Amino acid sequence: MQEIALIRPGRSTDTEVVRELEQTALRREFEERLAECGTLAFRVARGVLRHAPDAEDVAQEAILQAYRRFPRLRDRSCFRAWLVRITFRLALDQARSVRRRELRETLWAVEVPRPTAEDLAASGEFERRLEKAMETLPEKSRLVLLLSALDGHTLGEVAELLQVPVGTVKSRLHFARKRLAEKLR
Amino acid sequence: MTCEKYRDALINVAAGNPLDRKLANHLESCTPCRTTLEGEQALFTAIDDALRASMGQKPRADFLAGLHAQIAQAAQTQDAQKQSGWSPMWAWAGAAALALVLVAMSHPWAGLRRQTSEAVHLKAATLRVHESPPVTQTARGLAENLGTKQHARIDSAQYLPSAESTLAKRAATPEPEVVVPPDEARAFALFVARVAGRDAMAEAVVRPAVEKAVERGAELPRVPSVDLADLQPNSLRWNDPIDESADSE
Repeated sequence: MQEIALIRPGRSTDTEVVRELEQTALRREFEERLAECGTLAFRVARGVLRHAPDAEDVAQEAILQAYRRFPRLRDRSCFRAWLVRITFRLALDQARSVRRRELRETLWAVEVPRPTAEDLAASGEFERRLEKAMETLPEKSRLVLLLSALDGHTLGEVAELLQVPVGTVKSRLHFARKRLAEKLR
Repeated sequence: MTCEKYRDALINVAAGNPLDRKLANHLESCTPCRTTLEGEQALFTAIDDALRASMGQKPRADFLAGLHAQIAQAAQTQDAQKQSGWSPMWAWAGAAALALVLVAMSHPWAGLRRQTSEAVHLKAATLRVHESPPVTQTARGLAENLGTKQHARIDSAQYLPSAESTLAKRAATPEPEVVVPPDEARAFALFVARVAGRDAMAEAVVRPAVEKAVERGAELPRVPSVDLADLQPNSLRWNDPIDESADSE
């Protein structure tokens, strides 16, 4: 007796192929964007953490998170701003955990007298003081300060990156620099 | 100090704000303010330089290559998960199912707890009955107990199963039950004990009718008279069949 196989050839295979093609295209698009934004993620993390190996780890984690969520990103033109926000948030979390650990380990330390601004500028201590002063800034002002310090980033580009008006960027930057100077004076 | 009012303006200028004419005129004539402005400008420059130096640092040369490798690995993991049918949604669905099962399981437990509490209440009720034994004791059983000079004591197991079974037993028993208030239980027990052995009328009162039919014209059995004085508890005290020493035990 002849058997008849009830198969609709190629239907599920076609769906899988289409899905694979879509995923490949998404991955390629992500990797293209990564080439121009990977270093930016590292720099943002480095600006918060002041420690290159930690910054690399955080940037890597941020980029992986962005890759997993990339198919759900509606406006692909916002990729840079989106990646910067993810990286900044992760870097802040990492910095907080590092700070807590340092606080636990240095609770016994005696506070030394504060040197003058000129002395600080002349020594390597300045960066450490700057780092501590930056931790006291509000997150929005801090991010504006970091992005403005990037080479080749104008205030307009920072505003575009953060999707806020240029005036907002200016006022946040002015406030952040004055606050830092006040802390370092 | 007259220069104090220019202090904020000096800081703003050092921070990048434009220098206005009034402050410029003051700076031409005031050396301390010029020094202050120069110091503030140096501070802001140092901050900017430090920030630029920090933000200008580049990652290792293999950083991007490592990222691409990580992404390739993540893509492979995602593909493997999709092929195996695993999805984060499955984890959420499993968690939700587990929560539902726990909720469903908690209901029978609650019912069981309710039943248990009801059983405890019933047991407490029956124990209360047990603590006042004469209330539902059958007259004959009580008389028999007293006849053997035992204290009127009801086995708790007789009452513990449930109130319904107690009621069923009460309905099924051929002997009439006498409801006696607890404070009169002792007097009733004495009465039953008194009449159990020798008083046929009292026996007839507490027992159901005679099973066998009485023939017409047959002579009825003679019932000895009962002296009412004998039924008074005070007069029965002399012939108290209850061993008082058993109470103390």
